[in-house]
Amino acid sequence: MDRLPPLLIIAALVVAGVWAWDVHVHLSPPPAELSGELREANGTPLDSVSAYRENSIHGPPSVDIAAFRLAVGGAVARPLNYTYGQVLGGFSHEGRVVTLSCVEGWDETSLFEGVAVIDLLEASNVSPDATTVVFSALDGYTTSLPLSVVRDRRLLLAYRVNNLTLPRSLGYPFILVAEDRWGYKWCRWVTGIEASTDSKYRGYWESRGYTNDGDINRSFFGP
Amino acid sequence: MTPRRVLALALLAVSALLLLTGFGITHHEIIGPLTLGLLDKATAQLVHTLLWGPFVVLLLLHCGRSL
Repeated sequence: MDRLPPLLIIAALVVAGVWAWDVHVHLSPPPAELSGELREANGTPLDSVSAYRENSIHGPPSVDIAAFRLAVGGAVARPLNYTYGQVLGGFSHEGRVVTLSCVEGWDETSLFEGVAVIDLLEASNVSPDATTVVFSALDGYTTSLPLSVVRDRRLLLAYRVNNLTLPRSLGYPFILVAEDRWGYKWCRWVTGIEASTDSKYRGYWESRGYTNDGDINRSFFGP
Repeated sequence: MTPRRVLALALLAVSALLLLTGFGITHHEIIGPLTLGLLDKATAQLVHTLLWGPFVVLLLLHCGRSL
């Protein structure tokens, strides 16, 4: 065929138009920082919260904070449910500047403040047989980490970022700050923390081919 | 060189770049040094994300020319 069909030319023009818009969006500078947001901590520049990409599995869920409960259970002697206020008021707070590295290729560094996950687990008397901690989210997302990592690194369950209340897109009310792990280990909208004896447990992305340890220094594809 | 050949070669080049940048995201520890640091993970991600437009347009034109 020597001449292109008109319908095909129209389709190509439409695609080119959508693509031009996509390029514009991708190459535009990130939105201005939010009011009151910290952009530097102890000499370390912080990326704006607005720079994070939203990559939830079903879109960011809305949380009714009055009805919200954080469940800590599984292989523990005393399963407990916490309100948002009980988590913030019942445990010591820690702050840390941490970089989230996404498998998509982007990295963002922020100051996260929260409570140590191990403190929540130990308040429930975690079983000595437990090897793994399974995190579940409001949207059905799950991931896991070895209990030893959660304990030794004192991984945070953050409720603040860059001095702001965690925004909905970033996991309000709680995000797991999985230091030195790929972004799929950073469970957002956390509603459940479960101690488990199943060290082979695989979460949402892990059961779809991503590594179970999520080590940032290794490829994210694999067992 | 005929327009059909130019289209085909452009599509081939974009497809190869799409593949390379894809590997640049998933296997950045290999592709980064292989490209002398030119294609780091963030660059690969940006280029890969933006290549879909040229790829689809060239594919449409290529198919239109070939059918």
